[in-house]
Amino acid sequence: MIGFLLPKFAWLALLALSPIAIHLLNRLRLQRIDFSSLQFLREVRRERFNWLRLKELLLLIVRTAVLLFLFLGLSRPFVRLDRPGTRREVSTVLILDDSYSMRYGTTWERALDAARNYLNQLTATSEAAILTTTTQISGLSRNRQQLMTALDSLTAGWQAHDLSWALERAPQLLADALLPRQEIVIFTDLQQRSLAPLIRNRNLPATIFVRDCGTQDWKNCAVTGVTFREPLPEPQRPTRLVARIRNYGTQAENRTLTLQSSGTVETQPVRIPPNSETRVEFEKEFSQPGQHTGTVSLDQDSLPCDDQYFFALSIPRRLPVLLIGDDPNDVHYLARALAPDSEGFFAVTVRNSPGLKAADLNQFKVIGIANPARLTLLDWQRIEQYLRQGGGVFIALAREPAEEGFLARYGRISTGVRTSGFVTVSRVNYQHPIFQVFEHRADVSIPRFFSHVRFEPINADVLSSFSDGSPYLLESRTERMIIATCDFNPSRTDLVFRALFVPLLHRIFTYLGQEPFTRNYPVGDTITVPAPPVGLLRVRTPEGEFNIAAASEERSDRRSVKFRDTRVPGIYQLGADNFAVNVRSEEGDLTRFAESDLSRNGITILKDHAPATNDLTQLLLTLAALFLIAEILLLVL
Amino acid sequence: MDSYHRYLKPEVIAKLKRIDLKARLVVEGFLTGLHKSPFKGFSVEFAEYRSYLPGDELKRVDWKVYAKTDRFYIREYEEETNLKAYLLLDCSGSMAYASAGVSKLEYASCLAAALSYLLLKQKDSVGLVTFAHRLENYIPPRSTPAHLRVLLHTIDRLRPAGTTNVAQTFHMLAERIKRRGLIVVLSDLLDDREQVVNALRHFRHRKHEVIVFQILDPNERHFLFKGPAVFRDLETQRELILDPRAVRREYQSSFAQFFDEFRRRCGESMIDFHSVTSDTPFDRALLAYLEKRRRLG
Repeated sequence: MIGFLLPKFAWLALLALSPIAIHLLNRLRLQRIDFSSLQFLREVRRERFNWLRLKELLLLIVRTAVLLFLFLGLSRPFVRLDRPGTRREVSTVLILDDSYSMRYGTTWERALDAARNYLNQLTATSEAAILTTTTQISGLSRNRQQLMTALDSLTAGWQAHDLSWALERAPQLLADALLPRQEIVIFTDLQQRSLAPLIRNRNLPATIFVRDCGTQDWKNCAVTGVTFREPLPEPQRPTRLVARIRNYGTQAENRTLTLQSSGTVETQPVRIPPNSETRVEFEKEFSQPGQHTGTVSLDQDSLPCDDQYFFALSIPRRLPVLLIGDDPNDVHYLARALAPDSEGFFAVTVRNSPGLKAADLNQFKVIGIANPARLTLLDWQRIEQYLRQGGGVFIALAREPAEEGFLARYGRISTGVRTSGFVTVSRVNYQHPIFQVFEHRADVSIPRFFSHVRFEPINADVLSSFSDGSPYLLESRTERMIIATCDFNPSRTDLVFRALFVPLLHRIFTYLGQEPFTRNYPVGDTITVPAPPVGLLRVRTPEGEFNIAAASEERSDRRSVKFRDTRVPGIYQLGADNFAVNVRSEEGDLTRFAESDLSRNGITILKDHAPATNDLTQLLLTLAALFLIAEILLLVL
Repeated sequence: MDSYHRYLKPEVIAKLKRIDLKARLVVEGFLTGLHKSPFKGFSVEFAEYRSYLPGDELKRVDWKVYAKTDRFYIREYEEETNLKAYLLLDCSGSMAYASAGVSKLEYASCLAAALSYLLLKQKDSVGLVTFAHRLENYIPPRSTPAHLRVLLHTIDRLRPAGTTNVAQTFHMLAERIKRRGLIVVLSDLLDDREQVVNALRHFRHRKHEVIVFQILDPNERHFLFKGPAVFRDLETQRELILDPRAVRREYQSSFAQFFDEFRRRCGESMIDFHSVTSDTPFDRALLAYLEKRRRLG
């Protein structure tokens, strides 16, 4: 199909008929001259006359051709190549990759333009549907205007979806297609991550085309996460914020990283080697307890949506801790280590086992149980419920508890308590938040342990071990619980006299005292919060404020609110709690599929920058010039 | 305006009064005129003696020479006689062509009128022959002054028509005109060159002096038409569509070559060939010719 970029000039091509018209008019208006004798005219050679007639005809043709090609060339004609949907009826599904990698530069705009151009190429009887990676925008329709309007309403998303859902949905739509020829056209940036499902599922009942709207030479850095060195930052105490930055590109990047939180701004330069991750630490002090939010951001590149990372945390004024122990020696040092005075971060309450029954466990963030030999089954059931509600529990064993059933889920306690000699801590997992701060700074092997419970873990991770190989500290894999196989009675360990003791307990209890829920979500996830006792839950999102009614949870009488509309990154406030929603940083890896891989799998690639048409302008203008030269030569001859 | 005043305007006459047209070649004639006769008869100017031959008239014997020599000698004299001129005027259709207002026939007619006046002034006899495809008019030569009006009247009534057949007319005239005279051809000569030259040679064979005035229109010589046109032959009515600009050069070359050959052939036969174009005032053309002729003797 031929089209014109400047169709008005195409109409001027009718002027090419003017030489013919002039020729005919001249014929009609030819002057009649009575001449004395045609004798000498006839003496002009016959072949000369033939040549003159031929020359006249050639000039007519040449002049017509010059005007024709000139005006046609100026009208910028093009021939639409045999692309999907052109010149034939087709039922087609357009899949627009709206993952956030499409926000790179003008990729999304190019994809929309390509989709519009594709729709314009369809015949009137063709039908088309539009899908994104997660949503059906339009079913199969012949209403071109409706489809265009649907395209106009689309924006690139913030999510990191691949094409799995769309590739599953497209054949379902084509099952109801009216036309025999069926196509699926994917408008994407050829990101490997997005297209991987296409390679896995290439046996689709339609011809597949991929329209490359991406950029060959891309580069991108992203802030992939923010964590704190301390599991639970304390007010008025410096904490270290660690930002992870990843360079997905093939060239090193020099960028500037900015931390904004609680009204303060701090920047640091950062150099990120190619295809690697770098960590940058900021020292931050939160002067006040309560909810805090902030951002860590890079100076913007061509994909700005992963250059910023939001974080939210809640800093308690104090951490209420319940210590349970029957032998004063079991809890004395424990209590002193956590709360040497009444003003410390930990608000420690000490109870013995009978006192546990009267205690409202929900008032405490962490329960420490020293030597739980006297806890009853009922006690353990209450602790179990407490754990389910998100509380943290620390258990220091001196001997096997009376009720073994509770601890049996985490391991097997063997009898035999060391009675002679001592062991030390020989192996430590310094990657664990409890021990991170001690790496290269403290010698954890100094304390001696004269007796401990031998514990073989089943459903727990060993955080540190004794020199005899038996575990010292274990962490439950299912609940927020730390088990120490030795208590803090001086008769059993001199840890209580070591400098390591207080900071170790602080780390353990702050670790256990973290909020039981995360405040950081990826875009698209559901935030669940307890419903307010009365009324609606007020929600503030980056897009605005509104109220949500609570919904009952299944299997319990607890009312909660599930907020699902987290499609935009930013800080969300649900009631009194802040949450940070961030993009999934792996979508920032724009590594493209090799075209050879796609072609090998029978997928046709349509380059966005390659012309879908053949521009005839140059050809026609060249022809016009050639014919003009021919005219000049004919006139000279 | 009568034909006399139309063709012989006072200024023309004034110019012609000062010049005459002498025959270059000896011509025969009866009356006393300007032209030398080949015959030695009674005259006022002694030419030469020759021996008596039986049959000569005794009255021509110079008796004084006899007395001295006892031999019979005849006196021969240079005898001036009158000229018989024939004006051959082409009135074929091609002579109607006029690009600048004056047709070739009109031009030729003026020339013929001027020549008639000149010759009659010289007491020569002038006859007129008009022709196209065939002989149209034949007026025998006379030398009376009144004959001029007869000639002019005939010239005035001429209308160009018909095709050209110069050769046939000339051959017929050559046979018809017995005595030597002056043949003045006033034509465009747009006919078969070989036949025309042969016909002119026929006149020369008959000892006539031949002067050819080729009368052309400037457009005929240069073909200065612009733009494509349908050209129609005035004689044959045949048409030809062409662009003059495309054939001009060839036409001019062909035309020039044709008449250069014509001139050369006429020169070889001692035919005085003179080409004039109708954009030149005829009197100027004629006077120029006569002056040149006079200088060349």
